[in-house]
Amino acid sequence: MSSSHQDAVDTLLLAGAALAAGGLAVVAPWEVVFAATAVLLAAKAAGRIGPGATAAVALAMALGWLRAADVVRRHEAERADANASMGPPARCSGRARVESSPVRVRDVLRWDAHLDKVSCDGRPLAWRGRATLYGGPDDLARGDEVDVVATLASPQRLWNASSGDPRPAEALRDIVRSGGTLDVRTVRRASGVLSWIDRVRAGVRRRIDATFAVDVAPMARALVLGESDLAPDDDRSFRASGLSHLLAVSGMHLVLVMALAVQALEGLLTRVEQIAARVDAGRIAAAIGVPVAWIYAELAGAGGSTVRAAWMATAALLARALGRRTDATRAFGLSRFQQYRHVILPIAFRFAVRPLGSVFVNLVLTTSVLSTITINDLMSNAENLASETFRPFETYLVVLVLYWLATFAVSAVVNLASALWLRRSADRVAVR
Amino acid sequence: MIEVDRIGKSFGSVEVLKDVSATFADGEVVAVIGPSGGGKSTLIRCINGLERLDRGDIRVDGRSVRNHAALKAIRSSCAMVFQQFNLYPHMTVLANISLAPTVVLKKPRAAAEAKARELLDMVGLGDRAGAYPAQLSGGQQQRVGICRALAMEPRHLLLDEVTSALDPEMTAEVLTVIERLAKAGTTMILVNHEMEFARRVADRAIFMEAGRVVADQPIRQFFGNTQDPRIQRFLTKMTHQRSEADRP
Amino acid sequence: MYQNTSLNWNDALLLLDGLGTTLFIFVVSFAAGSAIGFVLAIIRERRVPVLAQLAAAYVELFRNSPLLVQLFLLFFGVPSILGIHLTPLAAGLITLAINTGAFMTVIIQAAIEEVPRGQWEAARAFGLGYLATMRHVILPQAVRTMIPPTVSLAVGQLQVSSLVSIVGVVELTKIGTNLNLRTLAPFKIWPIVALGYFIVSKPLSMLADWSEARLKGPAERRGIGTDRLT
Repeated sequence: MSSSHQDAVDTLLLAGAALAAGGLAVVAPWEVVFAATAVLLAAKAAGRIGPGATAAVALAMALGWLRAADVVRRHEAERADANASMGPPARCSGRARVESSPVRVRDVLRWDAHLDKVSCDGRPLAWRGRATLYGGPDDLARGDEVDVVATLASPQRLWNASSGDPRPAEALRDIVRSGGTLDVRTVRRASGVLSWIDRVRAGVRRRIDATFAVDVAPMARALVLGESDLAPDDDRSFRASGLSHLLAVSGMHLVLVMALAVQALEGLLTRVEQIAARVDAGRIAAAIGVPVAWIYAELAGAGGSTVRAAWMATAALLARALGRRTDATRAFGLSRFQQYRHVILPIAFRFAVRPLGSVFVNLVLTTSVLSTITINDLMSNAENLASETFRPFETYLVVLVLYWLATFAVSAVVNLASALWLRRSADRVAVR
Repeated sequence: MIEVDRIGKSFGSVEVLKDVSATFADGEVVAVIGPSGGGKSTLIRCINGLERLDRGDIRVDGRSVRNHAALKAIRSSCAMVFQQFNLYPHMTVLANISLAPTVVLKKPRAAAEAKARELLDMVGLGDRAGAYPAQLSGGQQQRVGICRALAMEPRHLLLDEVTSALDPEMTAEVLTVIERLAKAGTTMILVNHEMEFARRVADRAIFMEAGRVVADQPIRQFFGNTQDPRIQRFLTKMTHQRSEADRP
Repeated sequence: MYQNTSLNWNDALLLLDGLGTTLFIFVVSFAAGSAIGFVLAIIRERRVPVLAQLAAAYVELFRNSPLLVQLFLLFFGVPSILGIHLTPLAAGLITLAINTGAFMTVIIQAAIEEVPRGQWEAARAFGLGYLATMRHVILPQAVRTMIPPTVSLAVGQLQVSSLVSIVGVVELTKIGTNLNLRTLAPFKIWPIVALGYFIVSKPLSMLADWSEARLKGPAERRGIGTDRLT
């Protein structure tokens, strides 16, 4: 890449970053300005940026700032508008189109919708806009059109010293009304990919509720669907212990799952001669990985970090699918990192797979200790059963066998994974 | 005397010994030679019971190898020297040599050690009695192996390719010891690749190929044999290899 | 409500006492487990017809199941079936011994099998019986291989012995639990208990590391007098 070409790309990247930073400046103006100035000065000192590029970057930041301020202002105007036309909480009816993936909070679904043909307390209104609604059928999905009757009110705003300025975040969500529904009738069920994902989530939610006890179900839902509505006690405990992150399906989960899935798919495809002989199976696997990453992100609740991770995974997978090696590190010229990624870590990982597997197996067994702090695992259920039926020997014997089965299954999976992973016999010899 | 009576031995689906018979008289030095895989090592390992016979029987001094109770006595009278030395790495040379006499023959420790030193002197390793096997060269280790076998004062000495793991210089020192033993009248069954040595030292040659005894003749007759094509083929191959090896 | 969150000298003595009990439990159960492991390893190596398979089943089952389940099985289950009465200490000792035995069997058997075949052949060819061969030739060499995994296992079993407190054995963890109930100051008590375990485990761990390093040295001692071609 010629150096002028490279400079142009550098400038574009910086300008893009400045645009985003400008948006951030609405919330924290002094910090952003300070950081931007520092970055530009450093770049100038390193000789990596010329005066023209500096001007372009500053301009981009100003644009971003202005645009963000504009969005906030418009949202405030809409809010005032809605308040004026609708007044105090009123019983309204209208046609709603579901626009966000429904999330379960306590016992009801929460979703954002675009309201149309609204009439409150009998009077039809000219107002149209987005609202957060609570309630509705379990399998509501994005794109559905429903007739609702709901009590709508202006959403509560909490603005104090510790919460910070809530306006930009609210402007992003663009909600001017919220309330609980009294009646929801489906007019048209949507049938796209997004609505399919939502219906799958609804199905998973149903299965979780059917399988787990009432006090554990929220944790299961948090782990699988990314719905964070733990009981306040549990929530506090997790936060106090610093383990909240465990319960979020975060970007790291996504990356790990996708990396595993794409590698496994590549391993499978290379075994099919017709494919492996003609094309680089890795590219096909990566290409398939892109939509899978997004579907997984959506299924797991499309939280902020998950979506960011999905974007990054898309970029890396697309690069691979298009035949380019995903050496983001080359852009930064960090060849030592490359060495790790291409040589040391793959080999090290191959050596580590077996011991990691046995650590994992050991972990499964150690979970039994959780029963002593009243977590409902296999062991505590066994204790309850033993004391209820007065047959401790049979109960614990069966539990012993169950744990053995569990470790057997886990070991089998680890062996299978390492066999697929170490597909070349040379690797197998090295690891032995 | 050792009588090998129509023995057969298979490892899995491979039949290594097919109907082999031979007799080894006391004081004889017999060289068992032939191409690899012919069953030579297996034959002498059957003699001291390291391999169990599928068919047939071997009688050592009248005692059958199939008789489990007699095995200990047989093994004390047949001492073996191994291709891979198989010295006990955690014991000194002296302890290696005196272990079996003290445990099996119930000799008192002092007597066993004295005899061990005597044997070490004989092979030229008198000053290495306190060394560990890993501190010795291959040739020295094999000489210790021979001492270990001789410490049992065996009636028969079984030598299983004892120079195959050694390079030429070390081979010579071991062969010198064996030659001396042969001249002293010990019964020896030698499985070996060293043709020249066999011709010099042995009284009789048993040629084995593909699990069968092809020829069992006095040594001169064997090396002067011009009739049997298999023997011819083997001898030419051996001498060719020899001359290849001797080329500078 | 008045809570006595302070710890006094008496408590320190109690904790030391508990540590003593923990050590006692560890030493006795580990010794017993090693004995069990040794016997079973020989049975498996010799392939004794029925016993070897039974030993294999025992090892599989007790290695791949949690100690807690085994403990409950023994403390609650067996008395209900056999009608005998087990004190918590007895149940804890027996369970730990059985659990340790399963792991030791594998370690010892692997160490014995690690010794080259040629050593067996040499010893047997000279007429040494099975036990004599084991005693003079095989076991001395196997012990070297055995030491690192055995010491690692010991460290692990020492930690895991804290589980016996659940059935009421008064050892270090149990004393910690009681103190905790009285003073309601877990952040004071549990680190001290952990420190107690650390004080006994660390020397063992160091022993494990040292023996592992030292074993690389005497590899030269094994030299070329073995089945391995140089």
